[in-house]
Amino acid sequence: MLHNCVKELRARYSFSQTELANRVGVTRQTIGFIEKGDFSPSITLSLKIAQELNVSVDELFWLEGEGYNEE
Amino acid sequence: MKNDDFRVQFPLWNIALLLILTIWSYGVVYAIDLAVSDFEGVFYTTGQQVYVNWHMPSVLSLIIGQLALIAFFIIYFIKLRQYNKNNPGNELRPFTFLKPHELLEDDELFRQITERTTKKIYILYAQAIPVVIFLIMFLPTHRFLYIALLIGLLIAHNALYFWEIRKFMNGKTQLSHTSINAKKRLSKFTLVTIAIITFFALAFPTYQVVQIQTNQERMFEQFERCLEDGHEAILTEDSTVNCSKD
Repeated sequence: MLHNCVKELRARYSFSQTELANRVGVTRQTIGFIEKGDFSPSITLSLKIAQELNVSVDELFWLEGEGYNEE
Repeated sequence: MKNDDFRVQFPLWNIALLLILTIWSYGVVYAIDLAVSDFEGVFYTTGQQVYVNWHMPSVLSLIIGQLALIAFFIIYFIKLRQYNKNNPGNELRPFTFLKPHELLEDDELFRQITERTTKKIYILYAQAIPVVIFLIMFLPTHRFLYIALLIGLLIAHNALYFWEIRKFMNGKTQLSHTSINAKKRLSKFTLVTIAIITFFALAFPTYQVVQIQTNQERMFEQFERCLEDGHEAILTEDSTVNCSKD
């Protein structure tokens, strides 16, 4: 299963789900599902989110058992 | 996108239209059958007078269906205009022949949800259509029933679509488990759909048989009464008993 720290990083930049969704061109529901780990985004969308949150994709997403990457 | 978005609610509009079409088609089917095969049966004469043999259920269904269709399209176009006004750049066409409005493809998540839901509908059709074919094959009944069964399937399809999208919009869908469980052969929804379709398919001919039997009993009673009174009993073309003195 794919884990992520989108919620934590979004909070750091004080973005709401809607705001982040608008910045990367998706719906609010998509951000919500990504944060819950219920949806694995495409590489393009992962890159866009990482860019908005100023991190690399592998800092934002990691596979189960590989640990939390955020410093 | 919100839960009350017109596109999310669209399967419900489809269901409403299908229900109206069911009522309307009863009248249409009866009228066409009459015009093609039994036009003389529309009229009957008693002495010098000619009467029209109105079949009230079909006449009523034709009128009610027609009025309901007009009302439906007026409300639909008002709602559509409202939606298009509130969503400039994302307008919906009035008719959905090319792309049904309920197919949500706003982004990759919605595309995935739509694919997942249409996969479930594919399974529903794959399992329910053979049952419908089987029922049509063995039931020697009015062709309205066949139309009603197909409309029933379409209603089930739209209900399933709405159910799935609603579940997703309420955050109850788990997309991490998107594959269909092959061990689970029939979903509850498909089972209920097949059960309802079978019930109606059997109920309609049963009702017809009961009606024929009741009519026969009534006619026998009229015959007996006539003969007991010393009159002559004649069976007319429209299945009524004429009692006349010798």
